[in-house]
Amino acid sequence: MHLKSLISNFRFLLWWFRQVLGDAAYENYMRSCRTAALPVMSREEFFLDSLRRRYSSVSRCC
Amino acid sequence: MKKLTTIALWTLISLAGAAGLAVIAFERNEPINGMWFIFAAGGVYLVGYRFYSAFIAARVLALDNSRATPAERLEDGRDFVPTNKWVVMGHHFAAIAGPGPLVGPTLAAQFGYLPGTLWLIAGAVLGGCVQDFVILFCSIRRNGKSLGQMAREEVNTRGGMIALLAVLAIMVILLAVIGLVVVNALKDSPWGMFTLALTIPIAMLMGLYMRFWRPGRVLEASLIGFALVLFAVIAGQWVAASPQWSQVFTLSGTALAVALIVYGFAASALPVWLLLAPRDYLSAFIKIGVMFALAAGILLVRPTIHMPALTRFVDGTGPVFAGKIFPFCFITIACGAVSGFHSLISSGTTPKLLTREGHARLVGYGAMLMESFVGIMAMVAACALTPGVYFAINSPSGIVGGTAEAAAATISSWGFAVDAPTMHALALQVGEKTLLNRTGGAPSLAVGMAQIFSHWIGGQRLLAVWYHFAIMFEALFILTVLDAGTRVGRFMVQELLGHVWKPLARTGWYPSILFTSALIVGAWGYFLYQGVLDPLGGINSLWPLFGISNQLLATVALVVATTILIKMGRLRWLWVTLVPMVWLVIVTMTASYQKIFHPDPRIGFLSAAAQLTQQLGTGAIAPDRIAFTERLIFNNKLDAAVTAALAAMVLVLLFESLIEWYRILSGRKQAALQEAPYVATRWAEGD
Repeated sequence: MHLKSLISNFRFLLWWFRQVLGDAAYENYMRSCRTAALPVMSREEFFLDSLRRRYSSVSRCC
Repeated sequence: MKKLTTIALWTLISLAGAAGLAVIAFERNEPINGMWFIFAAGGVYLVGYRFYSAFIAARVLALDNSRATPAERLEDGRDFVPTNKWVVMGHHFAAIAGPGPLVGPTLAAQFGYLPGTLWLIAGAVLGGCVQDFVILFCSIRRNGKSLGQMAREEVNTRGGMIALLAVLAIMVILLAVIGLVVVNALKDSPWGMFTLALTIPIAMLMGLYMRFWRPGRVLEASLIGFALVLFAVIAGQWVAASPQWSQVFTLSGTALAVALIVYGFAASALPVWLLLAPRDYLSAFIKIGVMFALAAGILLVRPTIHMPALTRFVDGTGPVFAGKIFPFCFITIACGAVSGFHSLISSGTTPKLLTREGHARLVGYGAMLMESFVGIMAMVAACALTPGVYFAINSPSGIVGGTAEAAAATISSWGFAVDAPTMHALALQVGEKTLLNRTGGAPSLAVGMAQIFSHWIGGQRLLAVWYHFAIMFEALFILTVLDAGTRVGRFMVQELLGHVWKPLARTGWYPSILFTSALIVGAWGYFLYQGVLDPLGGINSLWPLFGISNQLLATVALVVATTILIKMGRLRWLWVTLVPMVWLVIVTMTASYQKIFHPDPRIGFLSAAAQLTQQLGTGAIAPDRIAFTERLIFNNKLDAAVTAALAAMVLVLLFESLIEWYRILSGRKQAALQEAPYVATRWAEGD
């Protein structure tokens, strides 16, 4: 039981880290596309598009 | 029974916070333990979050979880993406946590640990968190609009223009001052310089990896980058030990400033995937890790605080920066307590990700509490140094002298014992030639962090590696802000110049990219260069200028928030934003006035210019220093003009807001909120 909860916490941490870093952004995007029936970009196109949007406004603070 | 347990738990937390505050406020006879800072801050933050933010959420803003957020209504998988609240909090924290909460408290430690710590705690709970939370809420209700757009729509058109100009001004000053922090941390340091230089090819390699080999695989690239950066930190000691290579990587302050200016231009003009983005990913990866490691380190090591609660420099004669506790402690701490810059993030990406209005409390208020806690950790790390060492590192040569003997004599005469052999030994231990006159806060913070980390892992043997790891960490995410800030500044300049000649607004047109990049880099590069040449170290004039501009932007955000609360009819709770706003106006206007007109040349720009002019007139300046002195005079006048312009902008906005408030409150004008219409959420509670 203890080990199970440890593994589950570790999984959550890894999942959280991937989400925060942006590693899971394409998977999230694909999920959104399926839900909202949006046109789909390739992983590479999506990556470049997300960078363009991210760095065209204030994204980092002092 | 459950209720009783809850009451007992919150009573315990409150008592722990109160005990921590009591110890740091009243203990005078012997050094205290750093753990009391953690109790004080942790207790107050938890109580503030549990009760004050809940009160704001329920009574002031009336957050409505039945209302669909922009992420739900406008979901496009790109900008508007419904996201788990803990992930949004992580995103938001990674975006708002910059070098400010590390550097500001380190500099403010010259007053002693007490004033800065109290302001970090009180300022965050009552001001900074409130600002971030309310602006996030306002933006959610307006489809994720920016602060500038909200100022334009809710106050007036001029309000929007003032917000845009204030952001541009703060950006220029911010980039200059953080550039100066990097310069002071890396000058004459081959180990540090080599490590940081190597992060450029490492970032490019990561960029190529994520662009061509494994598109979008951020975690893989970050892990590779982190391993390479660790290697660079360790390899730096071999470079420093080599007589030839150490020469190559030993750069003077001016050479480093020029290198940074060239780098900033390249980062702004190069494709974003090649340098800016991978460095940002690497920086975020290391930032989150180091913050947790520092918190764990402080808990495990429980460092003793050697700095007194109050130093003699509360009278305004401090060597790190001049000026009394009021207003300069508040201006110097800036981001760790209240940061105007956060309002740009709270009205940028974050409001487009929240799935529930209620999550704004955790993200807006909670993330700022974490940022403030980073400031507390920086304060602990800086105050764990013996005061003599702290002042030897952070005082400019213009005040304490350029040699170890002279500096030790001056600092000891202030009552803070330090001697030249101690400083030599410490420099050797951390792998530097000297630690004297390394103004800017980064080196002293790195020494403090290295002492905490090495206590934990490696002991004295790894002190030098930990020091350079800390320097790399600080410089890496300062450069991230420099890259990203220069690029955004370039877009702002393009937007402004597009009104003059349309092609200049085209963000993909290379002549415009090069021209506007040169303009924005030239602007912050000028202030950076003047800071490097300044005999008082530059931080003395630039950091207060940055603090003033940052706090003025916070004033703009709180003016907008107060206007919206008036229009919402929440007059009874207006004090929630009005009190921090009035406090910031008092602080920033006093600081602006003193920075311009104060008779002490170390504080007032105009009196500094007048003193130099008088010295020129009396022939007290050597002939070979005349041109340099004339430039210093011009720089002081320019700094005075910039401060006056910033203050004037905010006064205009404040005046116009007061008129707007009067018209609404007296019934002369109908309050028209620009909120998006209510749409019920399609998601069940708990989604």
